[in-house]
Parts: sequence; structure tokens; C-alpha cells
Amino acid sequence: MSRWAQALRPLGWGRTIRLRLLLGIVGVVALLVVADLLGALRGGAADGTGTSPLVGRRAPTLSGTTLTGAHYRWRPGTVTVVNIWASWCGPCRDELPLIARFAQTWQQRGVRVVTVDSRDGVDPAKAFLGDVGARDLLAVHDPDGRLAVSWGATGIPETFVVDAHGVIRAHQIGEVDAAWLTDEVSAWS
Amino acid sequence: MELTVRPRLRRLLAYAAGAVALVVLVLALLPGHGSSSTASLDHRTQDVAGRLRCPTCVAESAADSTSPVAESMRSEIRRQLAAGRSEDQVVAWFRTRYGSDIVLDPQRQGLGWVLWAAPPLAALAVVAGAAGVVVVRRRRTGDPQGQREEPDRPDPAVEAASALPVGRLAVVLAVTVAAAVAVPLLVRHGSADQASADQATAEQSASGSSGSSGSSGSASASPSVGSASGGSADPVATAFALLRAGHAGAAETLVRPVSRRAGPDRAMALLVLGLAQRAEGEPAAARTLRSFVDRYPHHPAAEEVRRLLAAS
Repeated sequence: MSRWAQALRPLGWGRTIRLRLLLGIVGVVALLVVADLLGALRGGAADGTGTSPLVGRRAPTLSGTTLTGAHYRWRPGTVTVVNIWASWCGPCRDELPLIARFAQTWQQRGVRVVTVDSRDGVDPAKAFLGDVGARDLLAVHDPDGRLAVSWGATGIPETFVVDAHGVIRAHQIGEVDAAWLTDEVSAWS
Repeated sequence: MELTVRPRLRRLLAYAAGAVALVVLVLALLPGHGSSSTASLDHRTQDVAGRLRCPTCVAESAADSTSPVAESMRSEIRRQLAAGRSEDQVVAWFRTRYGSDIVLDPQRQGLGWVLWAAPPLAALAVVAGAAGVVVVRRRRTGDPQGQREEPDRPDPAVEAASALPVGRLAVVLAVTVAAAVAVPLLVRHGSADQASADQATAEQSASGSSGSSGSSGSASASPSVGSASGGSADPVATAFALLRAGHAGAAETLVRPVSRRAGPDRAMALLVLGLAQRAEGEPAAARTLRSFVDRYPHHPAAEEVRRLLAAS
């Protein structure tokens, strides 16, 4: 630095330029730090259970072949709970019976439950549904996980609540409980 | 002699600066991942997957990861490319579903522009610095005899011409230094975001898949290793990463000593050892996995391992 200063002095730039440079750098860095802090604050506020950017947007399409071999295509119209599961998923073993009970209880009130069996074989999936007493659950088969990806899912299980207009209103990564389901579905039906 | 060398030097510098500016411009205008229409579907799929982050992994792209979600992403990318969608359209499709964090390219918006601007600015600073040095040297050595050597040149013009780059140099330097400060800030911010996301996904991968197919992304996404994953010296975490990367033999060697002694890591060590042996096709795998299940019946992975043992 001193060599630079020495070199610049004969040109009459020495002190002023150093001062300006310093002020400029301090100013820019201060701005960046403030911006970074603001960004961190905003990011912190955005964290929560509604992690999917799809919340508040129209739900992607949901269609395919069910585990029983029928073709299914979901259309908006009533509040729908979409649950993504697989027979190899541990938490799903606890969660699916709850989902099945919920589907039965809320059916009369016009709430639909559609599940997506992701990255799974038809036979193990059927056996699994039998095991957990959820044989009647509507399950769309998603062998290569593309359906789950189109819903922005990162893992299994994940659950979405879609309102009657087809807008995703809630999203939960991991197991849901009865209270969460009841609260979210009641809020949109 | 001097008379002929100096203008040549200046001209050379001007050309160099011009060349650098041109290269920077061309690089900036080129579509970063543009691929020719002749590129194979496989290649283009990998290309797009390489631009996307694997959402359940630590610092892995969807192209590199073996996790289920990354495999599904590649399958979806392939389908969309085959259907005639452009690479940018596919990336945009993922961005609407997973947020802009899914894209590995730093965005050319907000603070992200600093990342893009830093390299060209640094190049400019180097050129400007070199020009400054040459000018200053010239003036220092040239001042006493300047009149003798360049009698026909008007002095004020030379002065103005040589003073200008120094002023520019100062500005460029200031911006470059600021950019150098901003880059670590941005990187830190990005990694903090990722850390929180990983924490979230670690919970959900708790029991499902951490063992059987290595789907929880990496060692630190697995709950039992999570707390200790800060240091890369953790042999169990390293072995788990090796196992995931397909080096079961190396994983087995690394984790075997840990699996023999009592300690908090033993459960995970036994699990990794058993899975590594299984990957190697060793008959000892079943015994190791069984001892894992017997010792740690309530481990999050125990149920999966039991199923694995029952199936084989």
C-alpha cells in the first residue's frame, strides 16, 4: 500500500484518493451488511411449516393409475387432502391409518382424500395398505416419483390441503397428526 | 529506444484491456448452459439436473445424488426434455415447485448480481492496476528528462491521459474489494439457508430410508449422525458417505473399529457396517444387521432393518 501511495503522490492523487477509496469501500460494505441482515431477517420470517412455494398457488395436476388399476384424475371442486406415502416409509405406517380414518369421517362433509403411493411397487403397497387397515384409501400409483416431484415434495410422507378452488392452502413435510388435519381442513371448507 | 518502447507498451495495454473486456462481454452474453440440439437426451438431462440442487442433500446437485427425490427429478427432467421443453423451461418448472433455492446458479437479481459481477470486475482491476503501474513508472522516470525525450508532445494532454486510468483504478478497486467482502457474505447466507432446510428434511427421513438405500442424502442428513456431522473427521459419517458413493469396501474398513467399541456412535457404525457388508454381498451382513436390531430395537432405522432382514 505504501508503495502505491508513494507512486501516486507525484500525481497529486495521494491522500484524497485514499480517503475516497476508504469511504467508498466502507459505504459499500455497510450497505451490503445491512442488505444481508435484512435478507436474513426476511428469510427467518419465511421459515415455518408452510415451506412449499406452491402454498397459495394452483395445485399441479394429479392423475394416474390407482393401485387397483383404475384411472384417476383429480379435479378441484371440494377440499382435498393429498398425502404422499410409500410402503418402505416408516412414519407412513403410523400416519396412514390416521389418514384413512380421517377420509372416512370427513367424506360426508365433502372432503376428499387422495393419496400418492410414490416410488413403490404395486404389490408391497397393497400389502402395506392391508397391514395398516387402510385398504379403501384412494391411492394413485407413482412408480418413479414424478408425481411427487411435480407437487414439489422432497421426501415421504408429505401432506397438502387444497381448497375447493384448487389452490394449495397448507403443506406439511413429515407425519401429520389429527389436529393438523382437522384445523387445516376446517379452515378451508 | 524509450520513445519506441513506451507507445508500444501503451498500445499493448490498450489491446489487453480491450481483449479482456471482449472476453468478459462474450462470457456474460453466452447462455451459460446452452447446449446444441444434437446433444443426447441423457446429456441434456444431466445438464439440467446439474443446475438443480438435490433438496434433501447437502451440497449435491440433482445430477450427482443417488437419493430418491434426485432420481425422480432426473426422470421428470428427461420426460419434459423429451416432450420438447427447453432446458430453461424445465428449470423454471422446478423453481415454481421448490422455490428459487432449488437452482444452483446464483440468480442475476438482488445481491446475486455481485457474484456475477465480481470476476469481470477483478479482471478489470488487474488491467487497470497494470495500466496504473506503467503510467506511474513512466511519469516517475520520465519527468526529469521528459522534455528532452518528447519535445513535440503537449504536456497537459499527456498528463490528462495518464491521470485518468488512476482515477478509474481507484473506483474499480473499491468495487472489487467490496465485492470480495460481499461474496463470503452471500455464500454464508446461502449455506445457512441450506442448513435449515437440511435440518427440516433430516426429521422426515428419520426412519424411512436412512439405511436401506442411502436416500437421506448424506451422512449429516441422517438423524443419528446429524449432531456429530460438523467435523469431517467423524469416521462413521465418512463411512456412510463412502457407502452412499458406492465404496462399500472402504466404508466397511473405516467403520469396523468403531462398531466394535461401545460409544454413542456404535449404533450407526453397526448399521453402516451391516449395510456395507450387504452391499459387498458378504454373508456376515445378516449377522451384523441382526445384532444392530437386537442392540438398538428403538433406533429410528431398526424397523426398516427388520423388514430388510425379513425380506432376505
